[in-house]
Amino acid sequence: MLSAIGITYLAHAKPDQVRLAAGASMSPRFGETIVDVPEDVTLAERVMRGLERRVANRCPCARGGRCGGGCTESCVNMIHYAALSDSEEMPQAVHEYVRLCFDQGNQVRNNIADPRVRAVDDLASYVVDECERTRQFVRFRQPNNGLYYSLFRPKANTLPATAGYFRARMGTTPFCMLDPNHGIGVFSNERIVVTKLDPELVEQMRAQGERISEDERYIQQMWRTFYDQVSLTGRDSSMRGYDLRASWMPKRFWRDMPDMAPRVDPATLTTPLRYRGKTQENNNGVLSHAEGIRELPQPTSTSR
Amino acid sequence: MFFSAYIPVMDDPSLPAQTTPVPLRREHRLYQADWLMRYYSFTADELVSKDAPWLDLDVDPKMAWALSHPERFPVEVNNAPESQLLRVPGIGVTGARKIMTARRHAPLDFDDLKALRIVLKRARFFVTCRGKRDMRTPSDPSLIREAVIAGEKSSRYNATRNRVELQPTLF
Repeated sequence: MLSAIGITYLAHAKPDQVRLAAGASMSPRFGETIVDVPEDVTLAERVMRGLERRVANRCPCARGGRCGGGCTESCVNMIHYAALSDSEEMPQAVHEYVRLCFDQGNQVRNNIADPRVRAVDDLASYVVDECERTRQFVRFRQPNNGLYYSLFRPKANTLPATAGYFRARMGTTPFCMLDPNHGIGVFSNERIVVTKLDPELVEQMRAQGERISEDERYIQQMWRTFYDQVSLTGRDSSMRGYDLRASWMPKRFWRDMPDMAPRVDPATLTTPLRYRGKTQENNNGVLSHAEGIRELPQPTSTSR
Repeated sequence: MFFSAYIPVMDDPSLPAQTTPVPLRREHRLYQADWLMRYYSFTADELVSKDAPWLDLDVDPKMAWALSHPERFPVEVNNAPESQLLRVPGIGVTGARKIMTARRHAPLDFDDLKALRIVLKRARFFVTCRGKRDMRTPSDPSLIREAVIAGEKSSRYNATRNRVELQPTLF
């Protein structure tokens, strides 16, 4: 996108006669012709460096002559977040905003009521909020009693921005995450890799992740029991008049979260070996510290 | 600090009935009053007084204070100090900061305030832009009070809470 903006500058194109759009969602309006513009990483870096220098010129928030993000609404950081958005108007909004930054320099820092700045700021805010929801509502499972796997469907491309958070949380535990809508996979072992996947590979990963072992079913029911037991009967949606979860935990995530899945009869579950005090080698013996483990209580009806 | 609405858990002649609705709206108002004192430099005497010792349930404390002090309004957004901006209902800490940043670039209009995500539904009664107030709002304080209270009473939040809290208890 930045290289496309650089090309419009190099070609001395009139800005009100150019509209940027992502190739996949391109549908020309009346009187428009499509021009395919190749990606050029060098040009994109040149545009970004020039933008940072132009915006940081005589700006009190600048760090080392560049837009350092020292202030909370950093003029250039907004572009990084807005670029992760799914919106079709995003390339043109960023195009107009970059042109405004080059025109106004450090004055754009105060010009936050301008509609061009507001457009990019709204996109960036949405992406930042979606990143926060990613950090809150990703749930891991162990399909094969080995690798931790998570399937998540955000409305913006948030996995590249949040992969570092999960790496810090999980530490050395290997895990992988899949975003089927954007075709992004995160794989973490000794090092972490965030990569775009082909549709066939996405489908393969998703199918493998759907397989669920008996141990995993038991542990998911354990989490559901905990979720039900910590809720208070006086503060649920029947007393409040509306369901707070709908606003703080959007329903579009519920299908991938075991907390919100239908409750299962504990009688159909088998307790994993390690919770029965048995090990793989010593299947007949019972360790003394494991005696007295209670079975899971029946699911309560006040949960949903 | 936590405020927790009373939840009836046992039957006893000296306790409220088991079917008493949980006063979640009062808890919400207490939290709002607490935040006003922490982040908006309100004092407890400004929010409640000997004549009005209870927080209003239909109207939040900041709006209630604004309605009972019409002499402090309207506030001009383009040159008011931050402490005055913070007293306007609908302008919070983020909104005040955005106004102060944006007005350094150019004087602000009501369209600019809307672009900055100020809650104009509440703030338009109490602010002026470049000396002009919003033409759809009355200038008389008693008319403002009527308009605000009618708006709050018919809001979905209050309608739902009234339906749940004021239902008759069964004996």
